[in-house]
Amino acid sequence: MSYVVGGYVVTIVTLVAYGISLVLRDRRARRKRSGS
Amino acid sequence: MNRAIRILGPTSILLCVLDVILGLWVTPDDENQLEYVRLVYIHPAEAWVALYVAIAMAALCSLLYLWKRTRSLKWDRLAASAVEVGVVFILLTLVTGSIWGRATWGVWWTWDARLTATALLAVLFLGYIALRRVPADPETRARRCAAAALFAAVDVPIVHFAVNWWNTLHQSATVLNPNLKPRIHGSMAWTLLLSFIAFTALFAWMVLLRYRIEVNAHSGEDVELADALAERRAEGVTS
Amino acid sequence: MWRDALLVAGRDLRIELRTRVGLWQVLPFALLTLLLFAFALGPKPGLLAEAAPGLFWLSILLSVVLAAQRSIAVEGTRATREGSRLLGLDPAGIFLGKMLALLVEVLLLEAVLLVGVLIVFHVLVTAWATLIASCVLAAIGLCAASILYGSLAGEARIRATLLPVLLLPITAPVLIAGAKAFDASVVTGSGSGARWLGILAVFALVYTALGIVLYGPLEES
Repeated sequence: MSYVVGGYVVTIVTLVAYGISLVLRDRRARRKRSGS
Repeated sequence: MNRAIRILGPTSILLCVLDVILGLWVTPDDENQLEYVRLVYIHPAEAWVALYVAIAMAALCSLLYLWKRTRSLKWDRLAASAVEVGVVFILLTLVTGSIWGRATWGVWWTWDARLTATALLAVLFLGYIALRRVPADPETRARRCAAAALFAAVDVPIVHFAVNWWNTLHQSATVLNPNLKPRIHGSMAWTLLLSFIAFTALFAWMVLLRYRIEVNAHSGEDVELADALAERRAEGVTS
Repeated sequence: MWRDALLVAGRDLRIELRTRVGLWQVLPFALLTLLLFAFALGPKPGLLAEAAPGLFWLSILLSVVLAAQRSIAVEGTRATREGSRLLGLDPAGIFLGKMLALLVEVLLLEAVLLVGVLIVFHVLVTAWATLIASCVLAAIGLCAASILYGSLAGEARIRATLLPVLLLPITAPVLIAGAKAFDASVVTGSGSGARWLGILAVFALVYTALGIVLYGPLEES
């Protein structure tokens, strides 16, 4: 069972981390555009 | 596009959460693979996105960029976004595939045709990103990357056949059954379908987000150029 | 297009004859890899004979990257390349010419290396037709792909590390098919080489066509 959980955890953690990084970069880019 | 992002984000995340819940708790075990079958609700969908959706999108956008009539930097940015997000999905595919292999075959890696082809594709993606990082003006970089994406996409079917034949003609005794496809029926089938939709939606959301980042990051340059041109023209009027 | 191709090919080959980089650098490198493989795998004759097909093609692949770097470097800086375009040379012809010149080099390299492998790794060939066909087809594909990617990889300094990363994954099918075709033409080998020759032929066709069509648009800025 640990293998299954491992697989799910890896997927979730990676996608969440990447998703968050995208959202943050997006916010920063939008702020830069409206700011400058 | 902004509205699409706003809708796709929560929707895709919701679908993925649903997929996880169904996959881990609601669906039954398989008679052969037991609990390990649950990995079928994440691995194939990831592979589908990485190997088909991402590459097809990158190739299509690259073609649209290279064709003079539709040439526009937006295709280049879209292609690059597809590849970058695609890399994440392809690495996930390799990891979950490896985990599934360890669970069912007892080894972390095997030269199964799909895993091997996926590994090769991963390197092709990374090559694209390496090329993208080479400093050059946007048009030149776009042209090079579009060509690289196209060449890679064209290579994919060749790789597919080569690796498949390479693997199946392997003579030595294979104790492992390379078949990762369990029998799917009932709630398992629906969940599998859901996983494909969920991951594709997630991919779409991420690509659009990445695209918007790219557009905004470079909008400053376009604005500065437009301002500079306007100033220059204004000078011409007074003299 | 063909006239320009022969012009460019002739020029590249003449440069090679004068500088002999292929002879003194690429060929020694290829032979060296054979030696290194022997060191890596150990002197057991059985193992080396079995691995010979793959090792041969691996050597060729790595050597072609080297030879291609050289061929592209001959084109010089971007300014020089624009110069040759302004001379009115058909870019498709330039591509074919460079590819043909590189092809001559690679075919000679394959011949020498083949002799080396057969002798040093104790390999006995039965189906010479398959082997030679695979060598020719693979060489065409490799040369087309490397000239094409060479024009993508940018200026010399970056190209030195970028070209292998771009080129080698693409040419993996050539390695697979070439090794299998070689294997099929050897005494203890298995199966017919037909499907592998098919893959080599498709690869050669596709990348030559892509080169003829896209080399020009890629070079213009």
